[in-house]
Amino acid sequence: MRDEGENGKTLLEALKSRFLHRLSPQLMRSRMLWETVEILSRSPLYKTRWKADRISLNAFVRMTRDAYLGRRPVVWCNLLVPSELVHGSGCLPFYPEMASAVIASAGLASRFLDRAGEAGFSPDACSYHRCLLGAALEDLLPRPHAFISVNYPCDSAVLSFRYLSHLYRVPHFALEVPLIRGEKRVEFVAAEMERVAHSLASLAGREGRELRKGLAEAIELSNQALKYHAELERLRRETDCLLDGKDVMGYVSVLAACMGTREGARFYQTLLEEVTERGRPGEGAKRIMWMHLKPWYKHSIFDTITAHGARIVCEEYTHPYWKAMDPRHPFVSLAQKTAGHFLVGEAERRIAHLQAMAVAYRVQGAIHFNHWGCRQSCGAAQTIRMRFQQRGIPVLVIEGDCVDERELQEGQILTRLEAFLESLRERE
Amino acid sequence: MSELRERGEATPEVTWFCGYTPVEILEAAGLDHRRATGVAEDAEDADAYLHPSLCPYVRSCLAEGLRLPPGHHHAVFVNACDALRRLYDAWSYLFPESFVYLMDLPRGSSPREVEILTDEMKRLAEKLEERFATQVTQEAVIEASRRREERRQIYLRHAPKLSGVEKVKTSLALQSSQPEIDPPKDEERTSGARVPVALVGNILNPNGILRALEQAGAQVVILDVCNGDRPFLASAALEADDDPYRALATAYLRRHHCARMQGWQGRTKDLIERLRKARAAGLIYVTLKFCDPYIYEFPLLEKVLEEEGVKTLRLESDYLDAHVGQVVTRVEAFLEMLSRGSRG
Repeated sequence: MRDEGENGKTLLEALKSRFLHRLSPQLMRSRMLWETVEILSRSPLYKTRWKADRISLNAFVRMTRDAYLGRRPVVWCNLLVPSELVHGSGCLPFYPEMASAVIASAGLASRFLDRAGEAGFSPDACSYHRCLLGAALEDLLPRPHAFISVNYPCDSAVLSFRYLSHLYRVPHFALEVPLIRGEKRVEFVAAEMERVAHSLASLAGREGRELRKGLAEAIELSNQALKYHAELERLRRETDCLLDGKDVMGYVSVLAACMGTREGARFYQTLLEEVTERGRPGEGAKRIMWMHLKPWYKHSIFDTITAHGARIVCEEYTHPYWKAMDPRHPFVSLAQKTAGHFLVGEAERRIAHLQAMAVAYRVQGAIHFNHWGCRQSCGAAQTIRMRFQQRGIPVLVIEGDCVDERELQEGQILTRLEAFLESLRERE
Repeated sequence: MSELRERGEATPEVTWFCGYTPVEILEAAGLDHRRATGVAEDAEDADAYLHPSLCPYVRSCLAEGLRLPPGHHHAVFVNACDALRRLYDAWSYLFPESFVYLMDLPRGSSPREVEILTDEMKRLAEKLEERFATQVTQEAVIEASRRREERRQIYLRHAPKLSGVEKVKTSLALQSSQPEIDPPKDEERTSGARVPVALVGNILNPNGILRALEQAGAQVVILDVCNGDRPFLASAALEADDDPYRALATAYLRRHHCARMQGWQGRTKDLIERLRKARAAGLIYVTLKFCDPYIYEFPLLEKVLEEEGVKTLRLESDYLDAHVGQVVTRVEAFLEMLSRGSRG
């Protein structure tokens, strides 16, 4: 969610100054709060960088409001759970990892990280999950009716959802994508998804026919979004368009939660139209790839990249890697989408995907952000660096934390970043 | 006798890392095998390939791999956690000439999951046949399972007389293809004057925290760790099935689980029953740093144990345990508290 206003104040900051001092489970579930949020989010005072940002902001405000006010059954999902499955079943998806990103961008993460620590969660665990656990323990997140986790990209969601399922006393559907390749894998995941969809539909009071209709509709809408998104990425590959990866990374929440909704399709359509209309900023910027996610709180990393005449032209997590789905076969299609993700399985798949992206986007250098506690990502960073360097693409590995700003050694990072960007310039 | 031995060829050795590795299939292929213990002192050697925030056992194993002579890097990995998968990635990158194989492991024991593991086991057998020009027969798998059950019986017979340190050594020896068990040394045998505790966790360095807490006065009556009692708790004998691979998969998915697997309620209930039976006065939870399954399990387990009136102490290990002296004071205070409780 992007909401920066040109007056220098963000919607989150405005909400923080009004409500932070009395943040409570009751407040989060009060109609008054959500009416205020809706008024503020529509206010022309809070200008967005792109028109599409307004669409996603409104979509998230609506979905989050409905989740807190219990207007539809809420299903907590991790990143690789396809939101089409949840929307199509008549429930509301809630991606708590993305909630941690929002909490971090509001500068509130430390409170919840500390709360998780008090409950016995080691600081060696991923801060996305510690933050959401802390917020859940304070009952400040929408109460779930069910959990769905996919066993990739990492173990954390499967494990933290297991804990939370016990805390909230609601079911946890742990979807497993097996390593085996081919039809059998898709068959297995599709069968699991079908089982889960029926459980969700019964939570939402949907019958078989409604479920099939809902899923087909969600997949149609997802396909529309994909079409615009793929075209947008073509522009980014082939031209030096204005869309900067530092902003696109924020769209990971759209990609996770809005696929299968009208707003998701409208978001990408509007973004494509505006990017096309605004044209190019001029050639010459060094083309950088960003691997893993960004720190969500305030920092100077991206300003430094821009100041050195470089631009993030592609990012790992916001790339549309899947093909259009068949609404007549929703479970097989969704299973293909999930099982086909490049973070499923061995690092070799991820590396091959990233290398192909680097070639397609004409990348001149890459940055791998090592989020503390992310075993799946940090664990392969050195191998990725070596493999990229074998292909002549230098990689800077930055150590930090996406959620906990206390863990970012910014001075050291900027020194290394500047040296890296200088070295790219010298390679000309 | 295996085909390899019949041909008079040197028997290749396969290294493995996770207790869910189906060693029966390695033995049925006529291969020697051993569980890697890692070289904890040299874990930093792995920094060039594995991030320091990964499991220290995994990093120590890569350090060990880096020291092995060429031709000794055949390895079977289980997709049990992010860290092991990353070890597989680094190992296959570093030793491309060796047999380096990653097999999957479902988290539950539903019929579909049994089917997946059955397929995985068959695929492993096929790959071994291909690579080592050998044959893995169904009879050999059944025979290997029978041998494993025999070793389990040996462990169960010895374990009550052994100290925690000796249990780990015996457990490791009995999990390899060439078990050699030393008789326990007198000074390491258990004594009645100690405080009986259950020790739960993942993998222990036998010369680290375990030794220190026994020296502090703990008597480890339950050693629920990957290189302790856990591999021997459930029978390794195969149930009657026309497909021994399916029987093997079923046995692996129904055994006493680690924190990574589904069904923590069952695991916890079973643990509490064993605690009562062994009259353990408390529980010490020792886990390696950065091990997510145990990091996320502890708060749940602690709460349930508290409700059951079981006192717990949590300790963290970096596998090397060079600064183990610092934890001794905490262990002594915990044991003292348990002693007071049992006297009162």
